[in-house]
Parts: sequence; structure tokens; C-alpha cells
Amino acid sequence: MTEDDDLKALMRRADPTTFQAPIDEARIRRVAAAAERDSVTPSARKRPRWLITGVSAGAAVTAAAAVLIAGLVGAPAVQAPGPTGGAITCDAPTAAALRANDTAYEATVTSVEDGVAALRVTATFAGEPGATVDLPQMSDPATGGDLFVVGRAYLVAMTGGFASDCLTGPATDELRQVYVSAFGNGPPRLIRTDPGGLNAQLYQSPLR
Amino acid sequence: MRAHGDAVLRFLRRRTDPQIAEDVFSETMLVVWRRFDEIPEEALPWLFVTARNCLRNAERSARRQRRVVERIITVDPPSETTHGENSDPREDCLRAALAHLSATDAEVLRLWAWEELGPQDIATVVGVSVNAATIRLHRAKKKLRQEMEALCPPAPSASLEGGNR
Repeated sequence: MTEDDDLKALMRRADPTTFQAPIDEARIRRVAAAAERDSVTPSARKRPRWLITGVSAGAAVTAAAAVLIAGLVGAPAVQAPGPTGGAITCDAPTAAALRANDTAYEATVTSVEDGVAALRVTATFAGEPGATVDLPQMSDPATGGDLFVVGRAYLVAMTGGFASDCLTGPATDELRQVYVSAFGNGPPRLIRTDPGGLNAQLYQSPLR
Repeated sequence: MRAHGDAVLRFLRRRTDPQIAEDVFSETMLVVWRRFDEIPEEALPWLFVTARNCLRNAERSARRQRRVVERIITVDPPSETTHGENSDPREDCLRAALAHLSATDAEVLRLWAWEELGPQDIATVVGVSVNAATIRLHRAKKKLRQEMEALCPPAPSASLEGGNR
């Protein structure tokens, strides 16, 4: 260990956050959402699309950071339109845009509590979302109201842990077809979705 | 996966008490959203600068409010969060030494050790050239070691300066 390493290690042990309560990530999202609601921007609050989707693979590292910002600042914020009425605008989902996401899946909302929706994953198109996913409530671009409703199925595209506002939506045949176009048209995958085991069953992926 | 928001909140928590950190974090997010178009590709240093500026604003405001000003700690990290039962005596020494450094030297060291920034990002946050940041970091480390040596003379084998010489 060099002198610098030793000094850095000592400083890190003196980091005050070591002794503080862990950071509440849900709170971070809520704060970001409140920031968007409370901010007044001169232009329409149109989310920079490049921060959400459509990044090149070569820019993956930069994009990951950028998407985190977009996720923090944007993802939950459209739940309540701001004073400027700034609902986001979305282009029609495309396979190319979807492929820029690291995780894509279909899931059914099992509960919505305190602004957080719990989803049970029923099919995976890309990545490894796990059997269940918790997401901040999102806005339905069509209505401006809450997107996630208990019992309904949704297609979700995520990057860096944050769901894309424009590529996530109710699991319609039309949207599902775009997901299939983006992530392949292979044989349907069978995945176990009931982690409790008592009622474990296999769901057939809607792929194809 | 940790988000930049986490890093920004930690940045603030390291420089003020947790409650004020939360308040300033909210303000920082507001500024971030308002200046969304200005966020550079390398966002983190920019976010730290924004957070620091918001903290300074809070400090200025707090100075006008005597009851609040005592809650803000600008040079030394919050003491109530730094003492574990099994704390290393050298940690106490380091905190004391850090408090003896200039604000900029201490900040450069925090950015290096706590935010784990390299010279280029430190330069962005501190507002100097990369070369100046590199030199400043080097000198700050040296000063910190000297302060520690002066404040708490080490046992020969525990010296940070000279190692196993």
C-alpha cells in the first residue's frame, strides 16, 4: 500500500456518511419529482430524448450516467404535471429506441402503495429484471394520470434501473409487437413468477 | 444501482448536517431541473458544483438566522456522525488535521478521498485548471500529513510520511 493509499483509506474511514443512516433512494426520486413540479422553465418541459433512449452502444458509459439523471429528474416527475402544464411528449416507440435499454419485460401490477408500484414480471425480453420489480408510479402520457393500475399488465423498458417514460406502457398488442421487434422473435420463454412457491406456476412469455 | 442523486446527497451529507443536506439536496434538484439543458456529459462534477453552490446559498441564508447558523458546518464534517466506539485514534487526528487546512485544501482532499474524483473532475469542482488541481492535491496531501505529524506525533511504525523507512 502506498502512502497515498494509506492516507486515502484513513480518510475514507473518517467519512461522516459511514455513520449516517442509509440513503433512501425512494426519497431521492420523490425529491427529484418535486423539483420538476416546482420548477418553472421557459420552454415546454420536453424531456431531452437522448437522455432516455436512443443512445449508441459506444456511449454506454456516458449514457448510463445520463440516464440516471434523466431517471432521477424525469421518471417520476410527470406524475403531477407542473405549473407550466408540462406533460412530456413522446415519439412513437420504436425497436431501435427499445434496444438502447438494458432491461425490458412484461409485468403485472400487484400493488401500488405510497407512490411505488410493485410489479410481478411475467415475461422477460432483455436483461434480468427478477421476479418482482418496484417502480415509482409513472404518468400515463395519454391521460396525465397515474400509469400503473393494480391488476393490469405493462411493458417496461429500463436503463440503469430507471424506466423509460416513453417506452413503458400498458401491454397492448401493438406495443408488445414493438418489443418483439426489438428483442427478437425467438421461442417463448417460460419463467417462474411466483416466488412464494405455493402457487408457483409457469407463465408463457407473450413473445412471438 | 446507485444513482447520481445518491452521490450528490452523500456529497452534501459530508459537508453539512443530515437535515440541511436533505434541504439543500431538494434545492439542488430544483436547480438541476431548471438547468437541465446545461448538464454536460460528465455530469457528476457539474452536479457537485451545483450542490456546493446551493449549500453556499443555504449558508449565506443561515448566517442571517442565528439559530440556524450553528447547524451548518462548512469546514469540518459533522462531528456527531464521526465517532464510532472503535474509532481509530488516527481518524480523530485526521479530522483535527483536516480542520487546520485551508478550505480549498480540505475540499480537494475530500473530493479525492470521499467523492473519489480524479484531478480532472476535482479541477471542475474547485474551478481551477487540471494542472493546478493536480498540484493542489499533491500539496494538500503533504500538508495533511504534516498537520497530523504535528498534532499527533506518530509511533515510528505508524508514520504516514515515510512509511517503512
